[in-house]
Amino acid sequence: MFELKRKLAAFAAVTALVVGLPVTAGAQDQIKVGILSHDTGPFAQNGRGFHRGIEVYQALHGKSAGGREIEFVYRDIGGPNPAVGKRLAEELIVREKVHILGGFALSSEALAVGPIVEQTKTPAITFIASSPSVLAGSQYFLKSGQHIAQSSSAGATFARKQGAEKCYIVVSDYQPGYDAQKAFRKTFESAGGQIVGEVRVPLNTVDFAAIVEGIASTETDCINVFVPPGAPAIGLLRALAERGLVESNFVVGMGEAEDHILPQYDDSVVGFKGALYYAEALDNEENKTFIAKLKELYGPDTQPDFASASAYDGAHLIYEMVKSQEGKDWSGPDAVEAVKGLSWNGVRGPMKIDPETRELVQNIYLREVQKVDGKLQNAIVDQLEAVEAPSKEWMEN
Amino acid sequence: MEQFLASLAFIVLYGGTYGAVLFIISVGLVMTMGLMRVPNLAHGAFAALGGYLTILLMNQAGMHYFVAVPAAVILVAALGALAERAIYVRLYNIPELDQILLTVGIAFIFVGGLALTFGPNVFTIRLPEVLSGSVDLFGRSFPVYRVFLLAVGALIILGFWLVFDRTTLGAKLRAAVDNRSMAQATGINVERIVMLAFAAGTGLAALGGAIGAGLFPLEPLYPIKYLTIILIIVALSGFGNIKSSIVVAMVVGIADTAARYYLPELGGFAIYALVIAAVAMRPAGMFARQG
Repeated sequence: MFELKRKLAAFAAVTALVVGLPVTAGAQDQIKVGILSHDTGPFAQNGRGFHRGIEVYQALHGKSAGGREIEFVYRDIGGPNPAVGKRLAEELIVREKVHILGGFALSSEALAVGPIVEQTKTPAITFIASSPSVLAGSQYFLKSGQHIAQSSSAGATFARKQGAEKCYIVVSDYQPGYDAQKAFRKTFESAGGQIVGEVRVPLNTVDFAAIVEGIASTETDCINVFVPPGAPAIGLLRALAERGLVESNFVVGMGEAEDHILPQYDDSVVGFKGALYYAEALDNEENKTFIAKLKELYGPDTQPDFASASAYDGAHLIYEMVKSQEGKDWSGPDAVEAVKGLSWNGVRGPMKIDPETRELVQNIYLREVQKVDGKLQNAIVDQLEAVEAPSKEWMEN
Repeated sequence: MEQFLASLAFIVLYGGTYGAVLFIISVGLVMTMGLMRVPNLAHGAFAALGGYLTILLMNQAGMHYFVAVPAAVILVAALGALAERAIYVRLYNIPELDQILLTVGIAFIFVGGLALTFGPNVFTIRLPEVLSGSVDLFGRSFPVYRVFLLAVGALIILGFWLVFDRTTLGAKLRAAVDNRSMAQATGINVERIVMLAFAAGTGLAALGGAIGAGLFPLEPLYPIKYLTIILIIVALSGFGNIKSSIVVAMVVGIADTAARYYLPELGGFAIYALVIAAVAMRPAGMFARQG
């Protein structure tokens, strides 16, 4: 045990030395950003969003900021594998000598990389990882995604606003599912609603008909869902729609039916709602510019999604951090300090980094799948402004 | 009581459709395992290919669903025959570990190839108008799509029964499964039978992948993701035992659906308990001849 600790300490010292070296060598003219991405495997859709968001940002804002050139290097984790994420983060910091880390589709990756970020004082921006515990992993973590409860709680608030009384919660049986379930239940109940049923569905579920049959036999006017995107989301939504529940209930999730996934559904998905920090249909300057460039670079059929939007806003945060160090020797901790409290207009609308918690303060939009001119698309039907992340105590009690 | 009967009807009908798709996808592997003794871990890849080809034929060639599905099945069956002659024929006399390495390698090549060609997104196949409504059965509404799956399953079973019990080809096939060298000695062209069976098996997998896409959404990881459930059917059926694979697929489908309905949170694991019990008690297959 002591042997291991000594080795770890030695490793930390070496990494600190290696990473620290350029700092003493004076202001360097290039900042390298390592992106932990998913180019293959079940989360490749997120990884593609990371690439596109960053590339669009660079196409619009150039490849340098604050007198320094910014270079992005990508690594593919390739699946739900935090250990690989950790190894790649080490490689990026030690061998590639990156100054900033970004990416992180999964919270488990951020949790695994946390100690390295802390030891090497490397600022790290999580684009999607939204577990409440992510930021506790290191003081050098920042977010360009969300705290999961921001969207989950907003979903409950929207449901109550629409008069929903009795809600059934369906989540996947894994940690993000539990967090989403808890946040929705707390908010819905404290707003006077009643939770009439809750179910945690195993991640290996293929046919959701049985789960949905259980919900259908309960008296509900609202269903909250949280399952991983991809096959589980499509399977659950189709089963709900097939049973007529999307029509008869206020069904609210998060990103299960983004515009680019809609071609996978038939018309039965009309009426499904998603509460999230980004919406394709947002009518602000930043989003319009973002989407126009996205279509220019990747073809007219390309759709934005929350992954590319988060990567775009994350790239902005990275540029702001680099700008803050203009004319100075690069210091990761100083760069993080400089952007605390920063507020700006992202593609998602106004956003701000809470200087105390480092969580984002941002709008949450209620989107609804509608059929317009024979085509399915999400429309924004409601929004909550400047939503803050709940405290640790709120999440735990 | 009424509630109970309604849930029972649900479980039998939905479990039955799930079982029907499992049967269509897996039966080819049951058959070829019996004939060739090669654990073809790339079997799921042929199912995925059937689904993806159907999408391609519908979207690119503008074919109707009912034309695209048979076309995809025929294409995959032809590819299966080709693969058997080119690759699988070399596997019959090598150690099992090598067979597994090679076939799982083929599955991974498919995973990468599908991701490269179609991207990482999930695909579902748009059903024609006829299949997207619902009908009233046993006092409740039931999607036409599910009835369609049951009907196709029943047709395949009927087809198997006709071919196996009523034709010379079926008799030769049964002979080749039971005793390959004896069959060869009586002048049966076993090589040709194996090729035909392999083509039929991969074709059926393609059919399952295509019409079952509503239950098993198409994604690049399909060949690996559904391998477990396919192998469960094969293990419980016993090599080459097609009749028992019908019952096994139905039992697995209905048991899985029932468990998920009554115990949503633990139900996903009920099927593994069933497998452990069945394999411990009847290692040669749930309905294997005892000898």
